[in-house]
Amino acid sequence: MTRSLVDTERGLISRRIFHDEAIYAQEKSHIFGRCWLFLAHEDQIPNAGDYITCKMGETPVIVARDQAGGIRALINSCRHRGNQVTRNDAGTAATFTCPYHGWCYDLQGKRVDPGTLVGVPNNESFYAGQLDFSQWGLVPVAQVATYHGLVFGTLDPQAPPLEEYLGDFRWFLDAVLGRGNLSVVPGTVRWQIRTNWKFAADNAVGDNAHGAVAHRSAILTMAKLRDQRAQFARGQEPGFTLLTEYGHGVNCKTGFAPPKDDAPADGFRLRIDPAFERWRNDPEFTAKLSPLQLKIQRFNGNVFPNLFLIDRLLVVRNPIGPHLTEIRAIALFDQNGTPETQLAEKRLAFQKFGPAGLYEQEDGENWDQATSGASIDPLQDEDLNYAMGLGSGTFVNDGQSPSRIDSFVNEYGQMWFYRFWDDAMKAGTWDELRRNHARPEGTL
Amino acid sequence: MSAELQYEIEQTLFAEADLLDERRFEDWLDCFTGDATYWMPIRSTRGRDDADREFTKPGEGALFDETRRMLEMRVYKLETGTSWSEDPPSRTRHFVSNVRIRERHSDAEVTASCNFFIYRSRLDTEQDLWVGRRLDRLRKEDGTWKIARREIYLDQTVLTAKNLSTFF
Repeated sequence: MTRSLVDTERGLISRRIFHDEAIYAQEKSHIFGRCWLFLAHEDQIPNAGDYITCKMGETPVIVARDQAGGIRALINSCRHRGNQVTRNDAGTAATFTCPYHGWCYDLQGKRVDPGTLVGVPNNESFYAGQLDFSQWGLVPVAQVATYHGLVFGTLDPQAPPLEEYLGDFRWFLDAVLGRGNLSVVPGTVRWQIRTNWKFAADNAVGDNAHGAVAHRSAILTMAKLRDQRAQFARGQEPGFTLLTEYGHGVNCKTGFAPPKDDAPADGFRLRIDPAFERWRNDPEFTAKLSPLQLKIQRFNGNVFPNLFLIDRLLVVRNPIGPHLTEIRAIALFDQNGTPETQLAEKRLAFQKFGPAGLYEQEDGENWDQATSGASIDPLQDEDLNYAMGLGSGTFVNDGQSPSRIDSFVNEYGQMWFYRFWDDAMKAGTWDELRRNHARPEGTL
Repeated sequence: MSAELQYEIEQTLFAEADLLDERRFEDWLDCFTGDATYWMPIRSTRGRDDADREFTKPGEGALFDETRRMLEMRVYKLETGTSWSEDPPSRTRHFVSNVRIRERHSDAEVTASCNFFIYRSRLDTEQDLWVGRRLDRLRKEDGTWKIARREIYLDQTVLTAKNLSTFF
């Protein structure tokens, strides 16, 4: 293949990256085997022995709280025959016993490290006591770390620390994850879409052009609910696009509409919107933020490769092959809210985004269709156009924020995502990637 | 439990299912009381020792947690002409079976359980199946049974459908 897959000069992306099996195989090692991936929120596992299971790409993982209060991540595969040692989505346990031959692994780390093999049935007679338990524990995820309660893991021991990986994107995470006293809404939503995971990710990282078209019906519906006329922006809206090293990006809208507390009698949905804004009245929080961080109203962003952030949702788009993506969504709510707003936030967490979400229903339809379109044979050399705004996106580094472009509707985020994707696919090791990757400077 | 009541409840649920498959959504809304609620909890795979946490509870996260007004909004959305997930519309078939009256709160209010099997055919060859159980609280208003609360318990934990743009 001589054509480049990502043409940053002209804003072109090859259709091949959305369906090609060989490219997907390389993504498994170079992207999902290497990057820091979102695993869980620490409030999902508050006590020793609490665990959830999830996937890092296609790799099944157990994320658990140990006796010392630390968070451990272990690959959910017995060292004897490879079975999953737990098949639950969540629970509480002291040990896991494989259902096939009974190899038993510690989970809480009371006397041994979590994941250590602590029992094999009839060990003395079957193995003559020769099995070295210390060598046959569950394989740990190479590195685990948290930021604002978000637990990330990487399968690559050479990956830089999470703080470096998130880098300047922490400026945005600080602005939105510190809003109030956030905890997790009970319930993890999971569903599958016949799409390549990148169509979901590139929508997350900065697609503000699709809203008025793809989500027109949802915008009309939300306006009707409020007895208002639907507002569709003409052209640009106030806001900025923050793009930081290692492929992270977010669009932030800065126009601030004061929250409305005059919800109509049956407007249960409406009570959630003021709830999102309560933090603005909390001086303890607002004092920590810069004027531009405080101006952020609405946002959609992506921690590379596949953590989508919108409202108070944390949404992972995990590939299961090039044509199928499993989405896992959890939601946060503000424990500082009134009992009523807390209840509203929990109950309506997935009403806008989620499989039944007024907005996200259309995304499923569109990404499915885009993935079909990407594999049309005679169009393999007809690249997709990601050139909106290309050539006029100048990075501003004026001290108000890390590297940003003062534009809200554009495709800079997408190109930024694919530049790093391309860098990661070409790099042989993390060291190489640390040296050779796009920096947020100059003009996109 | 009278055969007549069983018949009335069954016929109410069957007729309501037909309205959905015939895309008569405005008429479908009339099957609900003004204070109706419509709720689908989130399900997860749990061990038998942890079975009470298999479904999220009222007041926790949900796939649907709707008032009658929100159901009206969802119908309005379908009719905007830009609801691409259902435009062109899906072809659905609702099967309702195993209807049993579980509780008779009064002469005019009962809770009935049923199993459902919903088939969705979409565009060329897309197909989705949703199987599960429903608990419907029905109230008689002006001689007609209406749904006052619907609880929908899907059997899947990971939904294999790209969205839930169908009514249950």
